[in-house]
Amino acid sequence: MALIPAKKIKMPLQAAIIDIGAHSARMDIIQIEKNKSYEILESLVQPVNLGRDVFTRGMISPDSTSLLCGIMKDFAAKTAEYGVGYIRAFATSAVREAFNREIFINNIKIASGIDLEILEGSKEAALITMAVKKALGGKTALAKADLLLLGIGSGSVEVSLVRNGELKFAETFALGTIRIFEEYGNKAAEPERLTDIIDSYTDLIADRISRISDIPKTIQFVAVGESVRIIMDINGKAVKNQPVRTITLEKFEKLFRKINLMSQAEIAEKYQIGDVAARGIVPCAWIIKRFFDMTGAGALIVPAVTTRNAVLEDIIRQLFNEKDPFIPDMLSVVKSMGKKYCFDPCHVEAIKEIAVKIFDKMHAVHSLGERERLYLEIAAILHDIGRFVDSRKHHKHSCYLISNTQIPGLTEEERLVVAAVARYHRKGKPQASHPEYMILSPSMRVLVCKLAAILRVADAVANSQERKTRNCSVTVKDRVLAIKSSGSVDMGLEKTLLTRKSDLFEDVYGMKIVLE
Amino acid sequence: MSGFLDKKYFVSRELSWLEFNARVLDEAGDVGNPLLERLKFIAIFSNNLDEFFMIRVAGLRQLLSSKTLQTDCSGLEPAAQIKAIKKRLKGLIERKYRYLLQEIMPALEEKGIQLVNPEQLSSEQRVFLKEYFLNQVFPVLTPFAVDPSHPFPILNSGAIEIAVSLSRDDSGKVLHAFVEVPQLLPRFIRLSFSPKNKQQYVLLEDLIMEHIQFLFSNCKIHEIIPFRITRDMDFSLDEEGVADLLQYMKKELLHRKSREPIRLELPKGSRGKLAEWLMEQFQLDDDLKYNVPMPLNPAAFFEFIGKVDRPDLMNQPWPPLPVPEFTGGGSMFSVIDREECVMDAVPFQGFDPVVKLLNEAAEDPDVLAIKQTLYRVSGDSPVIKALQRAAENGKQVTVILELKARFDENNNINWAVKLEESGAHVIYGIAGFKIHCKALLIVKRNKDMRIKRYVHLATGNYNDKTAKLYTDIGMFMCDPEICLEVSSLFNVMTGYSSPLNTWKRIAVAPFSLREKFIELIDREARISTKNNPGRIIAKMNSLVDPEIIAHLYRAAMAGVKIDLIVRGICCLKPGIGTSNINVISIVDRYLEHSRVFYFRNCGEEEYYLSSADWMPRNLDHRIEIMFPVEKESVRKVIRQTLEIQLKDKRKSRHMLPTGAYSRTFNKVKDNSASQFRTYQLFQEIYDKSRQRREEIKKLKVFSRPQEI
Repeated sequence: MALIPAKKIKMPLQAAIIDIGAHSARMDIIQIEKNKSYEILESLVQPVNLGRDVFTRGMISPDSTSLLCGIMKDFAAKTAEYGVGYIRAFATSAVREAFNREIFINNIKIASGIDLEILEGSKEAALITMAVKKALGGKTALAKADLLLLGIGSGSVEVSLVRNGELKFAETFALGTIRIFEEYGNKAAEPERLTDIIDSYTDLIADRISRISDIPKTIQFVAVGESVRIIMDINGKAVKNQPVRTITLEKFEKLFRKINLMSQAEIAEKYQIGDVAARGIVPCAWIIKRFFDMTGAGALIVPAVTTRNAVLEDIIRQLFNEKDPFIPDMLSVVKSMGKKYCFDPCHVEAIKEIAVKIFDKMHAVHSLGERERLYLEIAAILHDIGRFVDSRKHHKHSCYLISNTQIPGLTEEERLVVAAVARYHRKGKPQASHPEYMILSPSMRVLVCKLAAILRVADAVANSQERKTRNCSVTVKDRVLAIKSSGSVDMGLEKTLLTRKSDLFEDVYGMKIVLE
Repeated sequence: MSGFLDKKYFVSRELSWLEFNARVLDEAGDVGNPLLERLKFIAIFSNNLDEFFMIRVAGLRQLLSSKTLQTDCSGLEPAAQIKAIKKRLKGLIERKYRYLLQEIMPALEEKGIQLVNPEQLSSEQRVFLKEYFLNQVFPVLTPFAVDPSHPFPILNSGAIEIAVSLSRDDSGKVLHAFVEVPQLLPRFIRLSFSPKNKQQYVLLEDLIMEHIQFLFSNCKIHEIIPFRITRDMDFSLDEEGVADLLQYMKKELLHRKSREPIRLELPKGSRGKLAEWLMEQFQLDDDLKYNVPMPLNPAAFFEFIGKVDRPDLMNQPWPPLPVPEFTGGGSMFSVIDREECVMDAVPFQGFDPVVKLLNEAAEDPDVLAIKQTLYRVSGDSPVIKALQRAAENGKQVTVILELKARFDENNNINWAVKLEESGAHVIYGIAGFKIHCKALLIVKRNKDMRIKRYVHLATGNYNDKTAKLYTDIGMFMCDPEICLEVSSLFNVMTGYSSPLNTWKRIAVAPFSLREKFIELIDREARISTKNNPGRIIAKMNSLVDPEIIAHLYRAAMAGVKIDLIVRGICCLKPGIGTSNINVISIVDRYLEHSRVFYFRNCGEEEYYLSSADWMPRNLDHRIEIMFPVEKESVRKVIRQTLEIQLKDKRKSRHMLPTGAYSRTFNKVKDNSASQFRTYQLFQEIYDKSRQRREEIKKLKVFSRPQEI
């Protein structure tokens, strides 16, 4: 759903937020106040079985589609009861993995008039990280500490690592509490088989993290998700509106031993929870146990954060035109990625600096926004990582690496844009024969050209010695982009380079470049 | 706990129901009641008994014929229950006709109202009746002959039939025929040419029997006997009245020839060949044959009471009092905003605030949506009209309609279609669960763009007719948490959402209500000490649920003082091992219908109102609601009404450890009747508020500086 600019929206606003997960479809109708606080007017939930469809057959079945169309129609009717002015519907794991997801989304649109968007795993991880940091930050100094964060869902697990308050790693893994049973059948319920499956994933996760960062002894272990919340409820009911709960390792192990001996039916009966929810409890407890082992943490911290309220906070930020607070985290992860591929931090910093300067000065010409500026920054940081593979054709290797690495906070489409911008930082201009270019929508291709043109110029100017261009000034006047270095240094080499790399800039913007 | 499930703590449900109907009959015998009111209770007693046969006795017969030896909570097998019913009924039916024929009818005659036999009439009256018969009755009569070429007809349940034995003039062979007394025609025919100041009536069946020869010309009539057949209802396993009885029966046993006769009523003293032939035809067990004095089917006296039109022989009406909060002017919404919680106790107070709120909502441009549960609503109901108008005005109107309300189904469907046509969203119940909660939710977006919700929750239906006869309590509220929870209950009922089980302020059956009741009873037991005993007051229509009864007994044994005000069936037998349980039943001019629950909670008292009785069907098979009463001024009124009821010596009967009840109809001089006292209480409340308003009006306001 297209965003309505905040100035046109009158607060308080009634908004609906719909979340289609692997096993349930939920809707909250909320009232957002001028002071950005909100109140939930309605919460609805309907069980669905998209998880079984997608995790076993890779697609959403016609039955599920028709069920979801009915549910979404009801939800749409419900929004009318509150005169809802803003609807945001998103789908998480299951739909995002279904190969017929576009058809599914179209069916939903026809049935209910609601635009369903896919919440990418990386975006989900980013939103949850932010919400968790906010939940923890309010109460304690935890937000600045080292955190290992798990978002345990029924279809996937999001793992994030925060060092000194900066996000270093965030990835989604196909390890869901219910998905296990759907992928591996009822055998997964056998204790040995279950631990085997979970161990194989946790080993993989540990390996992935170790490539980015070590796990410090003092790390705080945080988990969110419905099953986690139920486990905490079993441990002791939450005090009303309690933002953060904790359980010590010792208490958890006691609880774990108790739950692990119980059948799904016994859990459902004893703790008064639904059958599907009960099914996910033991796998969830195993995952937590394995991460206790991995981190050596003494306690588990569980903030009252759900994907829905994380998305909700994001929506409120957007409604109030706030800057995306996740950008520093995103850039931090991008730098860790660069580090993994042995980038030259000083070099890319110089290029990024000048690229951004040009971007900002050219605003009247390109009329792009904050988000596009971010793509340029990320492309600047990662443009050379392809050298890790080989210096020859390294722009192509960069493109491949970026387009195949999860970057929290970026959608798949955004990632492909960034990859293409990096791809065109040198050598040939975009062409119809380039699949990485043609895969993009026409408007995204224009964007790639605009950003790549700037990146090429920045790369040429800052190519040799970054100190030459440090503090250089950029001006735009009479269809000329003038870059002036701060000191009296010889820019001869850069000028030569620029003549080779200004072609795209001139094509796209119809402007000349002068380097002094 | 299982110890308290022992049969010694229980009274048979069927026998307890009969005791309730006996209390209804007591009202017919109560000389303190006006004559036509006494007659009305005869009609209610008879009507109740018909339903009891059609449903409960029929269910027991099913058990019997399937040879199920399932015992009830008091340890009786089906056959024993049927026997016990027959035994108890013998006395009750005798009593009914004694009141009717020896007390009420003679007294009515003294007041100028007479039911006469055709043979007592003057010749003018006979001519009048003959003309009436030939013009109005004869054309609609259809005699059925019974002979080898005409099989035995299926006679209508509840109708009065006339059996005739006759022979053609030319042969001595005896034939049989039936004539049904048409139910569409008036049963009581008022005679012209009656003495001055006298109303005289003839019964339709007497008129037909008097002129039976017109139907069988050229035949010789030997004998005529009027009789009445009652058949079982077409019930299925989920039928509310029998689900508990038939739950253990095999499904295939239910595939039976439907609507079998389960009662034959014959005039007392019917002997002779025709009577023998009738018995032979129906082949009923002796337990199901009843010889009763005339007239048959006294339930028809409702018609008689209406026709007689003698207000002097009826209760003096108590006009419904205005709800004080709503009399000061201003919109209903503004009053609820200000008061947060307003109580409406029908029929002492009027039902009109609900209608007024709906009418305002229908017209208010700020109202976005209206949702309401409807159950047993009259067709020309002002509630439906308001909802229809709201839908036409573009509001999102959702009506959750319960079609399984017995005997009313045709009535319901007609107006449901009308509602749908006006744009309302009509939902016809949830499979397997009868929607019995009474809730109204209004969503409004105020001028400041904020959503505000209003609810009305009640113990009784949104029916303007029954609101004049049933005592119920409704509550208008705008507490955001309660509104949110009621809203999510509506989402479950409309199928928009699965139950989230997040109800905290309200409790909802079948999800959390039973647990909530048990938790509240157990808490009282837990915190009760010798010096600080717990206390429970529970008022409802029926108490049947064995689990609740067991928990009540356990609490009583732990020292909790329990007062149960149960109008109808009470399967809890008081006085077994503890004197802490007191059961009373109030039967008076209004039908006691509100469900009120009080828990002392160590001084932190809690009051609840509910749509549910303590019956398995309410707690497990229906959508029911219980909600707290938190506003002190409202709690005070509810506390006063409960106290008034517990002090009633006139119309409340104590249940004895035998399951029988004390009788009070001799205490004519006692003036503690709770319904009268309750009406007085609301009158006082209204008078006080009016006085206060007048005092405020009288305040002299100085509009410029004055010298004092």
